[in-house]
Amino acid sequence: MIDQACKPGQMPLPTSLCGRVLAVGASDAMGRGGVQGDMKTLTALGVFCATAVTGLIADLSRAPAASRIVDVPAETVAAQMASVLDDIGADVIKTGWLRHADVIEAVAEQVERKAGRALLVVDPDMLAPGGAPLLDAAAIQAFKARLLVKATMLTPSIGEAAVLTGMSIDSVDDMVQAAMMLTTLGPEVIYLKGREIFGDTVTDVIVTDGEPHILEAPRLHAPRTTGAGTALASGIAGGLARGLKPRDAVELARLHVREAIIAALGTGDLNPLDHGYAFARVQGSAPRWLTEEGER
Amino acid sequence: MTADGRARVLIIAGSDSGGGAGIQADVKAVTALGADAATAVTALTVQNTLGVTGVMETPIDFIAEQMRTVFDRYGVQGVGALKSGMLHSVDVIDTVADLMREAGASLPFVLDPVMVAKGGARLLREDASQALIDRLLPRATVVTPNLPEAEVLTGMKIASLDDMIRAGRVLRRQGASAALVKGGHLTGDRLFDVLVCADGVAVFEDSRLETRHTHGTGCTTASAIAAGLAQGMTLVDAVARARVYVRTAMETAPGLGAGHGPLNHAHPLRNDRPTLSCFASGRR
Repeated sequence: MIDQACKPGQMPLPTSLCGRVLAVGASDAMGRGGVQGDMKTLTALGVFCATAVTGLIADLSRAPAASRIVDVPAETVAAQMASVLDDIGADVIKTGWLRHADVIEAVAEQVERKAGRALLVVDPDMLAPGGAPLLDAAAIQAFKARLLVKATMLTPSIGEAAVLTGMSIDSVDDMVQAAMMLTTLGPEVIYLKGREIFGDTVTDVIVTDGEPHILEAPRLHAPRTTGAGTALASGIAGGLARGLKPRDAVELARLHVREAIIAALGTGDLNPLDHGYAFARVQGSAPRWLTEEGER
Repeated sequence: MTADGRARVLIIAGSDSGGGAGIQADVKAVTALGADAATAVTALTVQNTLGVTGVMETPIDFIAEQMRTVFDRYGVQGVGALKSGMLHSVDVIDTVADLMREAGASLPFVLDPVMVAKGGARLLREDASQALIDRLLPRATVVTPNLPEAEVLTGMKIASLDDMIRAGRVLRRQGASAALVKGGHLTGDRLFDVLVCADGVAVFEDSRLETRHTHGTGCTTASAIAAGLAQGMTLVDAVARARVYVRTAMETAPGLGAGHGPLNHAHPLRNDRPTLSCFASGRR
């Protein structure tokens, strides 16, 4: 697929449909994270999204402590992926919530089947809000040994990067060091999301071609940012599916998420992203009313 | 509009891994029409454009838990409309009806009486049609059957526009506030959908589209109507917008898959979106 909107220099956010992403992750009934967050983001970026659901959760932001999880068996995850990959296809496979070693193994096998045809973006959903680990040791081992080694791109938060590297990350210098270390685990590109380090500037680090780049943006004082991390990762997957290079895919995702946060400002703190800004109003066309007897 | 100023639709339906129907179509349609979507997943289908090859049903109590969580966290006032799709069994229908009563509000409710998937797989057990009629139809702001579904619900044979109007009237007598009977299954160059509601009978007429990309048209229509109701539109305006939205989505379908392909849910994207600097020239 070729993105006609992509020209060197200036590029508008997408205005038409291009590219396919298979989102592998949890279903979040609240609609903020998980595959719902993926679908909202990707639709707003003009990218087709299919899904393989790995677990059903009522409120992803409170799981697992205060929201029950219905795990989906590994073979059902694999069947959903195969069903999509063998018919619709995917330019990018994006993974999120993967909690068990057997599910990670099944996902890795499906990715392997399409090696060379679909890129893999891994958003390592490893920590509950508050920092408790979501994956046990066997799952972390499978995640590193089976999935990370196949990833084109990894999009961790600071907490997740700390778990994966064993480093303590407290500064931008630490972020650069951790991101460089993560490239040794397999992914060619690392996008390390820095919003957990407080200050008026949000600093993210991207490593491409072995070189770190620092991306800064003024912090938006949105109430909370539930769903923003997912939206960044799926936006990046969407950019890659549209044929952008990783650095541009990251810029695309950052600009969209920023616009979606701005659009939601002042609408309460439960859903801080509003993707609706991306769409024009659709005009209906009026019907013909029949009289009591019928006019025909 | 809802408590937080966001028009939100709670979607109660199955998941289509292929992304073309089910909650995937619903979430995409609601998003593209400027509203927010929350979901209660009733089942996971393993599905692509060729058909359904597997179904994992959500435990009944967890369907309730998803609905309750959305009502608790956003508040009943935070949900502007409900939309239901695949509700495969009597137990699921009873649970959804109970939860709607528990929420206590007379929320706009779009009932899409999903019975059979595009590829022919049965998504509603035979004994469940009566439960749908008894428990959910009386709560529906609008029920949106295609012709085979309208025939099952009304027991009528429907072969003409007049039959469609009659079926709509029967569905209202069965308890629905309004019925949108969709005529896509009739033959002929013209396509008619009929809305029978308190204001009378409205006929929507179009030329017929010849396309195999019809996966999820029913889900998409119903959730587009629900988005309009959540946004405070009148029913007839919500239906009128939903039909234009779906038609354009079919006309611009991306052509994916070997069977009934998905629609282009993203077609309303603005063409005056913000511009970003492009670093790398060319493509990956």
